[in-house]
Amino acid sequence: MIPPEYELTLSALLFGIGLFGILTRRNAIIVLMSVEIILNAAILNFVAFASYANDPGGQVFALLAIAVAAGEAAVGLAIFLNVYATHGTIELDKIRIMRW
Amino acid sequence: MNRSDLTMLLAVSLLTVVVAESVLLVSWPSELHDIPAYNNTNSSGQGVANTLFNSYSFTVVLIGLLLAAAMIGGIYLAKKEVKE
Repeated sequence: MIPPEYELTLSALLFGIGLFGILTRRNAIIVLMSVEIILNAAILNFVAFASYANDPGGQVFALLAIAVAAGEAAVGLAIFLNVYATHGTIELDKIRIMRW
Repeated sequence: MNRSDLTMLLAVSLLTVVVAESVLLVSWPSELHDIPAYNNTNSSGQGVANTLFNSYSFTVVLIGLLLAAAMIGGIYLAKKEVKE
């Protein structure tokens, strides 16, 4: 079985990659993917600590967090589709108005 | 990659190293527990499915409602308006 240090270090690495993507990228889809990477880092922490504490609640919360991430991705992509239809771009620097 | 991106990379790398180092400095126990997906030996077992459908059954219903709302909202946001 994988020791918790490895899982938590991988989780920190995933969090760093996602944070770097959010801070530096301007494409909205890449920012959404970075948010998903950060969510996956949190889910990995849930699973690691569930195995550490012998509590299935952590794995249950991981399943629920995956469902929430799916809903977030669906709504986010629909919003970006609408933004592209109104603004002609999904570059976050160029979107300055909330309503067309 | 411009200069601000390099600064961000440095800051995020530093944060990641600090978090990973703080994790590695903790002495974690070597014995880990294997949680089964479903425990059919008793009704209130330690399986993931047992916990999900016994302790968190209302949460499963709420997640279903959330996914349904996300689906309807996504369709509403993404549909094209028909010009008459």
